[in-house]
Amino acid sequence: MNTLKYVLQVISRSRFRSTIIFLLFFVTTVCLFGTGLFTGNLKSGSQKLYGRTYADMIAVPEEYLDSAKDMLFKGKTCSIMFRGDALSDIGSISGVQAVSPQLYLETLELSCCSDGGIQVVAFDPDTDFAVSQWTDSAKELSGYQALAGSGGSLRKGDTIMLFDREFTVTDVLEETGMGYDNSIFIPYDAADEITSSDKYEFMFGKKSGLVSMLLIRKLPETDINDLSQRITEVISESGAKVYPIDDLASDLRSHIDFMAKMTGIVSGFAVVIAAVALFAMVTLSFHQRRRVAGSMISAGCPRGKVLRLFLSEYLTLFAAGAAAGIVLVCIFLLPLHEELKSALDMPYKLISPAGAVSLAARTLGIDLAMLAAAVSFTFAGILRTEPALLMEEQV
Amino acid sequence: MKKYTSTILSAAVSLFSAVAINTFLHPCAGMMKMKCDTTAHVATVVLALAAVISIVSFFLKTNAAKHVFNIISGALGIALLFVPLLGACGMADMRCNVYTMPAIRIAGTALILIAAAAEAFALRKRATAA
Repeated sequence: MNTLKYVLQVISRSRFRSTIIFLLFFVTTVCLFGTGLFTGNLKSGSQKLYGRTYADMIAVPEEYLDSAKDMLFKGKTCSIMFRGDALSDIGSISGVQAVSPQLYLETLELSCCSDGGIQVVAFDPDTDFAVSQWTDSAKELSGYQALAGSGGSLRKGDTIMLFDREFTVTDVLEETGMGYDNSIFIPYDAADEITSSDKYEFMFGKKSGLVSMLLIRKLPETDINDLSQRITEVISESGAKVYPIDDLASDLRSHIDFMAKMTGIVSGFAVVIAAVALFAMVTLSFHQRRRVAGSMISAGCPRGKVLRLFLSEYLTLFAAGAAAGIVLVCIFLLPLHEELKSALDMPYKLISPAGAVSLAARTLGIDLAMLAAAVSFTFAGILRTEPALLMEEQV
Repeated sequence: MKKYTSTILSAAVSLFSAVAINTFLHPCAGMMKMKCDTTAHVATVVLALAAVISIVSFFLKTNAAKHVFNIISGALGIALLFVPLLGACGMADMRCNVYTMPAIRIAGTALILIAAAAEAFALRKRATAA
């Protein structure tokens, strides 16, 4: 009888014990891999906080700061507008490397089927340094061309009607982890045409040159606090104020760190409980099976083979439990990715496939370490004890 | 019913439906957050679970375990019938109402029927053996 056949027979005959050991590996894997993937996705999203805007500061009207933060970090749709006259003044301040305006327009929602409108983000392809970090085609955008966020189902070449104009999608941006994934990016000229049109006077007052936010990048050696003070003085008449991005994101970052720590602690407790239970289960099951081991050794079976048979059984259950755990986590976290992202109200971006594989490898490593700790005690017992003593009745 | 017919059928129905509602029977497309999109994602989770259950039950030998897995598969079919209640578009001729929701309901009904047929055959077999 080969090892695999023997192992499968033992597993099917001792169903209760096998099920418990399978469940312990399953629970440990779900806890470690599930929480690891979840917190990894949160951290992956928060790492993009700076990289996404590629700006050091933003200038936005003070009364719209909360809306701007929600739009910037949580992707909540909004319309913010102020006159962008101060744009050229900021560009001439020493220490400012680049300034780029963005205009946020929110479409009406379809009450029959949608949970909100579409966020339209207008940007200037000539001065832009934010959108272009996600796609090279941002600089070439013109007319009624648009870039789509990764969250929608639009593909390159698709068309979309926005404010009675048909825009053609020229590219789809990489995932940012925020509500920006559900935004449509259009060139500033097209947005100006919309805001100054008669038809949308009730929304935009037939105005052109409107701005929602100015993204400012400073020169590397410039002090950010000093520069933000100088810019605030220049644009004070427009009602806008300058905010360093890192200050705005600090609350969100600490919230994400706290959440990651909490899930880590809960997961740690689950793993410790599973490890203790596995140790107890393996030790107790060996106590029940010591006579089997003793009989096999007495019948001439080498101790190494007895150990191999026992180990193969546990490794089979480990493989089944770990595989089931990883599959279950993927079944829940992957199809519901977009729902989780909008429910969390914070940046959430899938980690890279390499990161997921590394996480799975770490999870399997911890599972194996737990198994090694549990069986080493048992195997030492088999190696040290005489066959006659192993077969002795235990009362 | 042959030994593996029910498991193969339910695995095929679950996998095909999961792929279908994410490809050629996908819900309404666009940049808006749509209720039907969430419904399709939840249906995918339920169908993927049903597929895994069917595949695992294929390798099971004991009748008791197969019986339990059949019941779980049937329960997932019932759950699938309730998934469209999560939300769909208001207009009857929209894509989700024409393709996706019917596909989810048909998949749920098929899973229930397969599980019920498998149970009925198992009961008849047991009665014949007795």
